[in-house]
Amino acid sequence: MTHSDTFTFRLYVADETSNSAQAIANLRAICNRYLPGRHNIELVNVFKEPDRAMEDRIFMTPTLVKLAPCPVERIVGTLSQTNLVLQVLGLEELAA
Amino acid sequence: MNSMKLVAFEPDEDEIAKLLRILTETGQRLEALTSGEVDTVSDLEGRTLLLRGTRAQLAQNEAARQAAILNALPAHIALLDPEGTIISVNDAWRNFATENSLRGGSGNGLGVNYLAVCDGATGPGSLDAHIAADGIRSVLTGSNKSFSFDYECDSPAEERWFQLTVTPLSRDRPKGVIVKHGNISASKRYQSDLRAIAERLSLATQVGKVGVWEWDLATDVLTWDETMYAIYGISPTIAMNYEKWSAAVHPEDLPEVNAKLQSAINQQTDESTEFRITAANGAIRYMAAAERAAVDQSGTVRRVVGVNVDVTERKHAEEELLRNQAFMTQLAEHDYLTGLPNQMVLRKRLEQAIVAAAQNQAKFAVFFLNLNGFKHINDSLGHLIGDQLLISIGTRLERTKRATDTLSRFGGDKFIVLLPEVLDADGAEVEAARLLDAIAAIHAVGEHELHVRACIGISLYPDDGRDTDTLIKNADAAMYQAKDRGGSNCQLFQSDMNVRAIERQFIEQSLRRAIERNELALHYQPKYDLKSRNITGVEALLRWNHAVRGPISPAAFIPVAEDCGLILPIGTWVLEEACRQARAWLEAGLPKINMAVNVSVNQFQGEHFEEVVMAVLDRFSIDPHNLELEVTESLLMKTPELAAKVLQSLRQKGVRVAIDDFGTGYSSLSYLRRFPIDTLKIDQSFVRQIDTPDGVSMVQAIIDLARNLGMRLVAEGVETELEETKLESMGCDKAQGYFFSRPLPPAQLVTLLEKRSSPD
Repeated sequence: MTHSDTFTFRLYVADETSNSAQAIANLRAICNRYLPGRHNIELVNVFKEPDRAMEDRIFMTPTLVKLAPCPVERIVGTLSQTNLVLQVLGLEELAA
Repeated sequence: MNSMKLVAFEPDEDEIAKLLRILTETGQRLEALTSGEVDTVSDLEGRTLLLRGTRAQLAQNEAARQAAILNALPAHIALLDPEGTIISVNDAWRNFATENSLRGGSGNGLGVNYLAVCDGATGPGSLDAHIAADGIRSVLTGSNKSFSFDYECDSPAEERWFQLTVTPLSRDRPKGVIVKHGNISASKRYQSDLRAIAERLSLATQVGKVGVWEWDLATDVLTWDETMYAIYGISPTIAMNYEKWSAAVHPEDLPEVNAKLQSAINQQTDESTEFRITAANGAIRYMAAAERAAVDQSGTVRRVVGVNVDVTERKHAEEELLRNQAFMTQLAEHDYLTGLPNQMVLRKRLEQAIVAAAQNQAKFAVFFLNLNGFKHINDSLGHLIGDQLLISIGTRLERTKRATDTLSRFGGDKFIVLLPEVLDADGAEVEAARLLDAIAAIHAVGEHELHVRACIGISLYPDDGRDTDTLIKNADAAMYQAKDRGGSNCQLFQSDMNVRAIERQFIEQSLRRAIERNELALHYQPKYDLKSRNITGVEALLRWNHAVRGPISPAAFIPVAEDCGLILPIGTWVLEEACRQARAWLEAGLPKINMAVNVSVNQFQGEHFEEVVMAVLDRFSIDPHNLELEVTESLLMKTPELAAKVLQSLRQKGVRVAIDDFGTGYSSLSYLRRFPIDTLKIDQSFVRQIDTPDGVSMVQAIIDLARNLGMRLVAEGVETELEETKLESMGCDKAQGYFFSRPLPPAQLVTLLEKRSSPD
């Protein structure tokens, strides 16, 4: 894994509920700070696209899925604990 | 805090199912298990469960959002409970209520009964408040589904309008109402402005007869305003389209009208045109039209709008003006009586002829034509006949002249002909003779068969003049020369005629002022009885002493006076002056003598000659026997019937008549019998020849004739003793002449009269 890899995320949210909104905001902040210029974020609203949530076996919102680089990882919650999130994403060396 | 477990969680169907069941069954604990970080949980069938905390949060968000929206609205909004008590208000209401005590008293009005406030309103606007209260009640009780009304509520600064809207909180059962006061001043003002504009426009279009139309291209609906219908005379109930309208347009004008319409649509230009329509009543009316294409946002032409203005009255006025102009042009260029070109046209053609002849080194001729004795026809038969004669002559000359000649009436009985194709004097005389012959033929005018003759004066370009004025002036001078020769003839211009023409003009102008300037005087030449050598009478002779020129001979000015009509006032003056003098001499105690006064042909033909004579005699108390009118032989012969009648009448009243210059005319002696003549005056030309045998016999014949006719004799121009002696021996009664005395001013004559005078 190199620093030039692009991270692809899919974030499952439920409308404008508070935890979902918080998760969106936290993800954006982490990406902008640690992965500037090498990330893609796709938002999926489970209320609007319940079938997709089912296919992807998502049972709670907010849930973040890291699709690339491998391996695929899932995180449930507001993503407010930045260091934990970085670890799961394989970016431990960037954690404070 | 246990989120790491969740993060590490790898889906296992059974475990998940188990977990989910637990979670959903113990909903309350789920919040704790997930540390409040999860919003929703779904079961395996995809049914999503919104967690309670999240639900509360969302509800709170929604309430806050709605409150924000309400507060952002400019309208004043309040919620009333079924009793009419204010239970909630937005910011606008709160602010308004703070400023205006009416809606809710102090504070934000919460808890105040709004119905009670409205019911209790007094003073200005209270009626509106009562209406509002009734409206709110009607919605609260469910008798109305909603209520709305506009009311005026002016602030000191401006006119304000509000709209009150009352809507129920719930559809089913009245649980209260929402009351909204919206400020609609701007829209009210806009509506009011719009209405005013529409009214003004309507008034303008009606007053200006401006019809407004709009044509929808897609539907072919042609919308007309009332004025359009009125102009076309079509009932406003009829729906118009292109076909119905174009049927009213004049077929000749339709192509252009259509072209303009096409241009307005295709080029999107403003077009204007004028065309005729046939109104429903069949009348042709004139339209001034303008049109413009109206495009939508994509730039496609959807409609054409335009106006029709009824300009029929203006068109008629314009046509009238054109007709008048044509008439004025005819008047300006033609003689009103004969319809011949007038002076202006003649001068223009003359100028053209001069230019052409100068270029080609050619000649042309100008004829100045004047009728002989036209004045006599006018005087005796009346102007109506005279005018008809002029028309007849104009017609005949027009028929006789060549096509290239221009015939023009120059006023009165004068005509001018421009003959561009006459090359020399001979040719001109041939043409002049043709025209004179044409005139000389009988003219049938009314019941009269008139015979008139004319004289033509001819000038040639460039010999007799190189400009218009000179050519006309010289032809005129030549015409007078022709006239002097008498009869019907023509005369080519000769250079010395110019001097005469100028002289003639000078005399005429001066003579007009001679009487008032006291330049005229009478001198008197005595007549002597050859036997007694007494003075029996005097002949009054007119003298003109011009202020600058000195004495001017009667031979020079009498013909001019006769020609221009001045002889009438002058003749009357002579008669009066002579009688005044005769009276003066009588008053001075001198014996009665005969006063002889010369009478001209024009005087004689004047309508009231006899009355004038008798009035003058009466005025100065002169015995008619002492007045002798001297008339020339030619005068008698010109209008013999009239002369005989007037003379007879005068003679019956005692006035005497003498024939002047007898023997110079060509009348037969026997003809004289027809006239009542007292005295015959032997012309001096006979007296001169009295020393020859022929002369003696001629004078003797005259004397014998006079004696046989019972006339007296006076010899004129006796200058020698021989003449005097011979005349006496031949039986002549009286004589006058230089041998006895030249004509003298009154003062000098008195001394002669005092010595020897006696009336015969």
